[in-house]
Amino acid sequence: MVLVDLDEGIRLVSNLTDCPTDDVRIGMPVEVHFVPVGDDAVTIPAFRPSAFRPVAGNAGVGA
Amino acid sequence: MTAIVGIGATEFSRQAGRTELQLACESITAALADCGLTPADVNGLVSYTVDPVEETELVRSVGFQEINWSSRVPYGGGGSMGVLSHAAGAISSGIAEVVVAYRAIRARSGATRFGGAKTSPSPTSNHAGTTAMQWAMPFGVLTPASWMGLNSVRYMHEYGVTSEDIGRAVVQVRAYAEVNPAAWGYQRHMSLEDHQNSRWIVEPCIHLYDCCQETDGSVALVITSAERARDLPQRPVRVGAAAAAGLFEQEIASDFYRPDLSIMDGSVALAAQLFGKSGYSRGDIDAAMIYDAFSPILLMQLEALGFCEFGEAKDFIAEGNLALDGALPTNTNGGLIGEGYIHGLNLVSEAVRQLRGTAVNQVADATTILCTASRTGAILTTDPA
Repeated sequence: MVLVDLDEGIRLVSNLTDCPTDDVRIGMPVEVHFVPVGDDAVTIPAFRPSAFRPVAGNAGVGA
Repeated sequence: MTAIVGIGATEFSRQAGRTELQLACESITAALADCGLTPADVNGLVSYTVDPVEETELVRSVGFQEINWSSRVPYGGGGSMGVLSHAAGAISSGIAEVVVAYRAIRARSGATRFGGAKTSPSPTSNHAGTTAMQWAMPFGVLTPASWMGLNSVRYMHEYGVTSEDIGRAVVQVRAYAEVNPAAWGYQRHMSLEDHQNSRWIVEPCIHLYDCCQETDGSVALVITSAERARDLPQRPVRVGAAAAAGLFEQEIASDFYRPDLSIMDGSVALAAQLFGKSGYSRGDIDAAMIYDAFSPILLMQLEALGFCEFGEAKDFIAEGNLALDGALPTNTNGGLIGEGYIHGLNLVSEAVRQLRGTAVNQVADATTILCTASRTGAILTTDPA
């Protein structure tokens, strides 16, 4: 479970994926991807460590 | 000016074996007996929006004859001290003369355990204040501990607070509970080692023993004018100040969208209201009853209320300031963690006992006590108006 501050200025409750628990750091840059849930083709946004170095500002994990 | 003149409670258990209505009737009857009044004297009722006991059934069951005013306070447990400001407002304005404030709960044996996962797809929460949780549920943020956990992790990160730092507060409130016969924690000793060894509920901030007790029970208060209180048997406990502060983007137990996650800024605003407008200062406060549904928020509230600097609650606690001989004896009944979770209202009962001089863990010469729950609070006092 994470809180993610987006560059666009809003904060989302979400999940961090593709990252070992010990490597999670407050403030780390992340990027969105979409994860299917359930049987009815619903997807929800989740985040994983950013593949790119951000140029300005940070999409960071808030907590 | 208003005063709390009667307090009543049921036993606190994990299996009451009777309805919330029955529990409310018992605590209200006890509170009226405590102050020598009858149901016919009562003409006002106040509870929480989330309380399941309906006024109509309560009137019938207790035997109230004519209710002229009633009210409900939102924001769940964070609104718990709001029953005092609502009652004080009604009595001061003349709408009500004698008000009963009550909360009845089966947090453990009820249809859903209070600390359990909330998964209702309903777009509203029936005034539980948890409507916005629908945006957190898909990500597994389902329980009150997880709501609290996200902000608590940020708090610990920001100020270098460890689980042991938080555990020291739990050790103190459990020590109070250990000698309180009404408490779940009565005769149950808990050391810092026990705390650290209890299982993680939300790693790395909330162990099992950081969580309050899911409790069945009820608490009731009788509140009337300070003038009428003088004719009643108990030492009046005056509501010296009462206030609330619900901020933009605040939620009930998870302030996910406030700018600074490491600060309970609803409590900062509350303290500004309580101390700024009442003439009381922090130095006047002999003891505090602070809503401790989960222990990290006890530290965060101590800071937000201004009893220490931000990030320094861990030191304030380690120095022993929450103990009876400390600067701010806190949650002397054992708090919601050690005594039980009647959704905050049992903290008010304890403040009243302290001011009557009848508490199990009595603070010597206590005359003025702060009761707060995140965004609602009151200063109770035996000083004359």
